[in-house]
Amino acid sequence: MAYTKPNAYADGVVLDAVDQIENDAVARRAINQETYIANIAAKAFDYDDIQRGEYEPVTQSHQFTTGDIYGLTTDTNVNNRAYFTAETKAVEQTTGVQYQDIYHTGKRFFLERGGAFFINFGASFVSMDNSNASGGPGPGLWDSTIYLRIKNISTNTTTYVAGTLSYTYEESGAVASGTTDPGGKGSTARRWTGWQWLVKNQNAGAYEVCVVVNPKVEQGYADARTFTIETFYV
Amino acid sequence: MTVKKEHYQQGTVPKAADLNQPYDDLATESASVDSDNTASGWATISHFDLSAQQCNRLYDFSYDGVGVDTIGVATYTTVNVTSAAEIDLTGFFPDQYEATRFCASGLVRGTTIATDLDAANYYAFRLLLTYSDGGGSDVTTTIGEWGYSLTARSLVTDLASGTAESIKYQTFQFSAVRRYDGATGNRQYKKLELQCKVNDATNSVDVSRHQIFVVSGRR
Repeated sequence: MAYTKPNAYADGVVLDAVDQIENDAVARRAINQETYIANIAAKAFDYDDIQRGEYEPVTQSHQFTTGDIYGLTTDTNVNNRAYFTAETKAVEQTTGVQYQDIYHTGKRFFLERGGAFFINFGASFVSMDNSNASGGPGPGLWDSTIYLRIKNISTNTTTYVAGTLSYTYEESGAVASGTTDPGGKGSTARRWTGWQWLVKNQNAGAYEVCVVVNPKVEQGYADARTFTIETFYV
Repeated sequence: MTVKKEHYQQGTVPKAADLNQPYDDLATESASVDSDNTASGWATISHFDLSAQQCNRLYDFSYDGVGVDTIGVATYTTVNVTSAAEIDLTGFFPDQYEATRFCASGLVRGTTIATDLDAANYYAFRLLLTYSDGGGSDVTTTIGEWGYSLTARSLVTDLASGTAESIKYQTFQFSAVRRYDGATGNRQYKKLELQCKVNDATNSVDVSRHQIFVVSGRR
């Protein structure tokens, strides 16, 4: 907001200290806090004037505090396996639903304004053979579902993004016992799963995104994981 | 930004106009802040008028259902599950040297394989851009092509030799960048399409959920 002088001086009038203090106080506030979009001259600034964020080597993330791309986090783990298992489900291992985080494929970030974010994910998934132990699901080319999960922390809502639906398949079994058929056990091994998805029309606020899997195997893992978030203000 | 302030000698009576001067100057200058009084890295997202000057051009087409478009032809055809996988880019005039990123991803749910030998064992996607120069007729150019096998190349050890099985429920994902070097305002990007073909028309693939995406940083 542009500065507006609260008090004007006139010749022959004794200077009022209160008026003087108010003129200065309003000026100080205008300079420090109240420069908004409407006060900025057209085409007076360049990209150098945009604040840039910091790289955090411990978490391998790069946070842009503002700019044309706001939040960007990238993580790549070639050999570090992220395990998942159906053994932790309280009910039947192949029908119960329990989405487990694939670690190093998630991040929290904050949208200062409404906008969109673009997720780029890839990983090599392995769903190892189920055992024939009594009580277990046994081999069956079981399909474990993969999604991108978005938590809107501001509204406490969770969304599994339909457009990121993908699968990892158990590498053993004569027929497909799950809800989808991978085409045979010869095509299930060590598949690369990759997708990009643009999540549009998001309100300002805090978000947590993570790739999750609903396992139907006793042991599975994802390695060679890469995960990127790009945020766009449009 | 210039803000004038009058200094007086002792005993001089100040004039009201001089006393008002610094505040009036500030009122004038603060309405149109420029780079004279700002440091680099000062602007936050609060200073951008996104309604008038967007940071990015952003376009997309999304289908996130479980329906399929069965592609069984050997020439590229636009994927169409419930509607054509295309983005209307009309009005997108790239600046000179502007780089634009084109992305696509999706899921192939099923495959039908009659012939799986050599070149037949192959299907491909492409991103096709339609544009016009100087208001002329439409021209198409392939942004890129990306190919996939219908069957697994390697087999698990307890399958008989030569037993090839189809790869179903396989994701696809690709992107490319195209830079425009011509004069600003001459070229208009008009349409981007996601297309698919099989190398042998006896085979087919069922393309399911997919998204294509175009982004360009404004200059």
